[in-house]
Amino acid sequence: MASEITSQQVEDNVLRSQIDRSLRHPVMFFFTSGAAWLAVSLILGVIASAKSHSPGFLGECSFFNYGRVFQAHMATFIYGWGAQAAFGVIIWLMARLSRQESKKSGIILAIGHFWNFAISLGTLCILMGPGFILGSGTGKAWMYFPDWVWPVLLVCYFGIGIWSVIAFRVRRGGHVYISQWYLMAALFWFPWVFLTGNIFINTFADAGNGVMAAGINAWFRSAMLFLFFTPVAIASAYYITPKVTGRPVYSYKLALLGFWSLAVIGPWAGMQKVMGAPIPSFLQFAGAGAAVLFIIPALCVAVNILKTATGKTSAVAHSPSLRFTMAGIIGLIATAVVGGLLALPGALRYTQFAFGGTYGYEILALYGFFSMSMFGAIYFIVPRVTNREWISVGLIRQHFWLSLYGVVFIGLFCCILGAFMHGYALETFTVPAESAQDRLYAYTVGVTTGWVFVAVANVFFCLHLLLMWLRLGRRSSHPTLLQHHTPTIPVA
Amino acid sequence: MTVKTFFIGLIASFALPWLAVVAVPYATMRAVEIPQFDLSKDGKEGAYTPVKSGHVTFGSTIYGAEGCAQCHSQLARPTYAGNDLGRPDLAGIAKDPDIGDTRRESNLWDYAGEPFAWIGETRMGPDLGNFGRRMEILALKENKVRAEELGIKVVDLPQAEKFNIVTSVNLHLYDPRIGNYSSICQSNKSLFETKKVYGQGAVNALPIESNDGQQIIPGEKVLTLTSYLLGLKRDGEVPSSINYSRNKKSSK
Repeated sequence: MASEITSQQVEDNVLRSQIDRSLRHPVMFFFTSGAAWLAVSLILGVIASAKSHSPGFLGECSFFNYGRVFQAHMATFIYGWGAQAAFGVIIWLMARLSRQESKKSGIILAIGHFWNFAISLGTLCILMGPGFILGSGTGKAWMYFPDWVWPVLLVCYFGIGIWSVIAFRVRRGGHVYISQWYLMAALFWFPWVFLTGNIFINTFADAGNGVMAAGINAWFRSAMLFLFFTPVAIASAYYITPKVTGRPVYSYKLALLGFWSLAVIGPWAGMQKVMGAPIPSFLQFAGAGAAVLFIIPALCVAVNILKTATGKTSAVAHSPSLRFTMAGIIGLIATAVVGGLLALPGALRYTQFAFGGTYGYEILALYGFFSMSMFGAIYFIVPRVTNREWISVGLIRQHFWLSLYGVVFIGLFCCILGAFMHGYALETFTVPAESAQDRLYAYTVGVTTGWVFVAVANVFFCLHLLLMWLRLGRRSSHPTLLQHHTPTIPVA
Repeated sequence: MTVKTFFIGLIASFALPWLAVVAVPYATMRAVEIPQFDLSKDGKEGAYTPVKSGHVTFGSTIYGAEGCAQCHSQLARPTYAGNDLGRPDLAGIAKDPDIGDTRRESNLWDYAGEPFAWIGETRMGPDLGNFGRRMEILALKENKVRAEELGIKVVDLPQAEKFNIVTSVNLHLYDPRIGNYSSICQSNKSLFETKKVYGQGAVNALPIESNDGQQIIPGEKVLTLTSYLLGLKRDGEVPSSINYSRNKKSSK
């Protein structure tokens, strides 16, 4: 090192390592258990998808009935993996950006166990079906767990999230970075959305109208996606990209526009899913409009991030965090464009009830965008909190390529082809409905294939992460890079 | 941007849509005025009170828990949202010589008694909004054919010879591929019981051969679900104020 190390830099390094050490266990717990749930969810997803074209798969054991496995697959994906990955990123990123070490990591770790326990029991209830002593799956999208689960999850959320809000309140330095806006917004939106959805649909189910409950459910899943998973993933991208490329964010104004357009547009979307149902048509078209307009915040973020990384192709190629983050940003553009296309009122008549019109879109958003960004963050955070480097470059590489191929496969077969071709057959009322079912076969097989890729990738990812938590990673001062190169500084 | 303006903006940008698309519609939809028949337009008076039959609330819960809504929708969309009124038997009975045309789009009262309307995720399976009506028509046709075979009138058909709607639905729930080999629907065998036959056996046993004198008998949950499914009859006459049909009778 030619430049002199100032006392300020030393202090910063010490503070950073203190923050990392203080959060090692909660962060690793959320990532590892999240990855384990992801592996479980994907295996359930493969089963569900296989049953959608070969109903005799795994015999006719009711435990693995399509209706139950599908619910368990989505529930574990969202609350097992998605939420926990987000928690890990939120607590670490907020601590780092607020320059405050966590003093309550023991509490967070303990509450994390409750969260996992509730999810495990909830998943068991879904698979056991009606009549099980602890309740059964509800069949309501994104609210599949029996009614007693959501209050537990909400209390756990407050126990986990409150410390990040406090860290923000007592932040050092005063300057608020873009990622912090998104994290604070996500921390603020999640309880409001989660509480609204569950109170209106579950607690006061008998007081309200069933059709409106279905509408609010459609709003709920869209709001969870746009107002919780999306801001967390964007916060991570705004952190990782400048860090790895060593450049400031391209445009602060564009970041502002992206943030506020998401805040203004996001909460309106969702009810286009129940287009044609007997609820006010204003709600349906407002939902469709907002789903199309989501392209604005998505493009603002994507342009900003891509411009920040322009010209740093070698960094994108070498750094696993940046490569996953960039893939996630491409996923964001794809999600926004495909989502807008599927929600256009003219297209909605085909895509609304078509295979994959909703599922494919949600997978594209949750895996192609959110999960890829989270993987990027995990590949960045884990070596810092464990103080070890990733064990195997090969495992990271297989994780990236299998994920990418898998999600592109699903996006193509399920979202585009599945939605429009199946939907077209459904809408052509002069041909018998069975012809629509015949068309389905190719797309369902396509989705199974995609899920197999992704499931293999993530089973190994989970193992890799587990080994890292056991601190079996490489002791090295050099980051794990994806390309072979001759080191300029010989390691003694 | 200060932290204060940030939070004010955050709350304002969320609260407005929250009120507009969630809270206020929820409150107003709780108590929608029941439409009335109009003597001059409908030829009769009184409130619109569609008859609901079957175990609606409990059946609806089982329908959800088994994930039926994942593949079956229950919605006849208006023409601005889809061609459901054109699809035979989805929105009602199309041009039956005896019954006429009963097709119409779904309305709010179709879902009465259900805490959650199963609008549905996909149509990988057929729409079930008028499943009960379709089965009813199927039974009429079957009985007619059977009576013709026996050379008697339909009304004289002995009970044992009649088409049993409940057993037919139970059979589908037991194994959907019995009636339709290419069905991708799930079988719900765990909801049935296999019992040894004593005497004449159970009345509602499924008409399939089983090993060593055993019968397959639908459990309580299957009967509830079947009752719910057979109660799905969302067609027929509606007051002119909510009738959007092209063939609507104009006021005389």
